[in-house]
Amino acid sequence: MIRLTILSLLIGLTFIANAQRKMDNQGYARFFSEAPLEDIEAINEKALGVLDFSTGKVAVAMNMKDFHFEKSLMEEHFNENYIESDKYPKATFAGEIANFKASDYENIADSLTQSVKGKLTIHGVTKDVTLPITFKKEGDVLVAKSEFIVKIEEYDVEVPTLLIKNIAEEVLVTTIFRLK
Amino acid sequence: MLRVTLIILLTITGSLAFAQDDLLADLMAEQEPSENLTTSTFKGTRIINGHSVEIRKKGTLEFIISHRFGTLNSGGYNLWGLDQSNIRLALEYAPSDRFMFGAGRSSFEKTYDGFIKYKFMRQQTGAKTVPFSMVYFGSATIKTLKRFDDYEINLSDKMAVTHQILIARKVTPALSLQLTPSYSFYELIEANETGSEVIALGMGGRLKVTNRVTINMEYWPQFKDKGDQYHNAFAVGVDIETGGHVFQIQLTNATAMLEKGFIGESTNDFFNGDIHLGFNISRAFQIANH
Repeated sequence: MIRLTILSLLIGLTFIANAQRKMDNQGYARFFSEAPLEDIEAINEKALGVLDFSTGKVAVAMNMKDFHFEKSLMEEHFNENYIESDKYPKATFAGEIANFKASDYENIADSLTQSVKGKLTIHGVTKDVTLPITFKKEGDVLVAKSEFIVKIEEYDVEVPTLLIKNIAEEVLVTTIFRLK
Repeated sequence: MLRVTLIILLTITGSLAFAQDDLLADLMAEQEPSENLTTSTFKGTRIINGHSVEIRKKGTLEFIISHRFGTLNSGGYNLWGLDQSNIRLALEYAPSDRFMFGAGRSSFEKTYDGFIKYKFMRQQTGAKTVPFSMVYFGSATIKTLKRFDDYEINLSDKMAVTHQILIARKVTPALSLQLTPSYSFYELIEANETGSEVIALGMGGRLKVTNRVTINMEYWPQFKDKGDQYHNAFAVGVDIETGGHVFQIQLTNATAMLEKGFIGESTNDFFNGDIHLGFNISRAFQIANH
C-alpha cells in the first residue's frame, strides 16, 4: 500500500520533471525611479523565473529582501515602511504568453517580442497586467527580458505626503531571465 | 485494490493539474531557503537613553544630536525646563554590518565619551533560526567638569566604564523587546557615595503605531547602586522616522545621555514629576559602499 503510494508519487513527480521547462534561479530584477530629490535604484539578482514550453505559461517569484540599494537606509525603509517585506515577503507573476507556439523559440534569428498576460502580485496586491517580453538566443540559453512601469499607488504602497518629493509614483521595472 | 488505483489516479491527475496550472507554486517550492536576517528591530541605535541592538549598515556615518531639557516641574519661570538644556553631539560610524563605534561630547558635566558595539548574534529565520540578536556594548567616559573643591584628581579618576550585553527580539513586526544587563565602574567615589559599581538590568521595548512611528519605553532598575540619592532611570518616548532622519522625543528622569550617567547617577525621580523633555535627532550619511 505504502509502496504503491510512493510509486504513484514518483509517477506524479516525473510528470512535473517531464514538463518542458526552462528556468533561471539567478534572474535579474531592477527597479528605478526618478524623483525630484533623488533617483532610487534597487537590484535583485536572485529572482526565479520559469517558462513552460508545453503550455506557454510563465512564472516569476522574488524575495523583496533580495533587493539591494546603494544607500543602506533606503533599503531598510523600503523593507520596513513601503513594501513591508515581513508581511509580504515576495513579489510574484504568473501568466501566459499570447499565441504561444514552442517552435517559435527554437530558431530565433534576432529577437522575438511577445506579450504575456497574467497576474502581478506586489505588496500583497494582485493586478491583471499585460507585459512585453523580448526573447533572444545566446547559445543554448534563452534570454527573456521585460520592461514595464509599475504605479506604486495601485499596489497600496503608501507614501507620506511629506516624502512625496523623494519618491516617484511610477517605477520602471526591468527583469532579465537567462532560461536554461 | 480499487482504493490504490484511485490514489494513483488522483495523484497523477493532481500532479498534472499542479504542473500545468500552478507553475508559480512549483517555482516557489524550488526556491532554496536563504538566510533571512531580521531587520529594523528598532528604528534607532538607541531605544531612548540606552543603546538598542541596532547597528547601522556598513559605511553609514550617523550624526546624532541629543537634548535633555530641565525638569517639567521646575515651573513656569523656567518655562517648564526649556530654559535649561543639556546636549550631546556625536559621530557614530559602522565599518561593518556588525560593528560600530562612536565618540561624543555631552555638555552635562562636560563629558567626553567613546563606545564600541559588536553584534555577535543576529536574529534570523530561513536557513537557520536564531531567536535573538545579541550585542556587546562597551563605553568609556571622561568627565572634565572642574571641581569646586581643592581635591586634586588625575585623569584616570575622571573616568567611568560600562559594559553591557544587549539581548533583543523582534517578537512581531510591531513589537520588539530588549533586556540589557549592565555593569558600570566609576574610578572615583564622591564623599556622599557608598560604592563605585553599578549593576543594572535595562528593560526596553518598542511598539509600532504606524510604519514610521513607534512608542518606546525603557526602565533601568539597579541591583547595586552608588548611593540612595540615585534613582532608577525611566523613559517613555516616540520615534518618528522621515527619510534619512530619526526623531526621538522622550520624557525621562535622566539628565545624562551616557550609560554611566543615566543608569547610575540619575538624581531625579520620574514619579515625583522630575521629568525632562528630550529629543534625539539623527542624520545618516552613506559614506562608503555597503
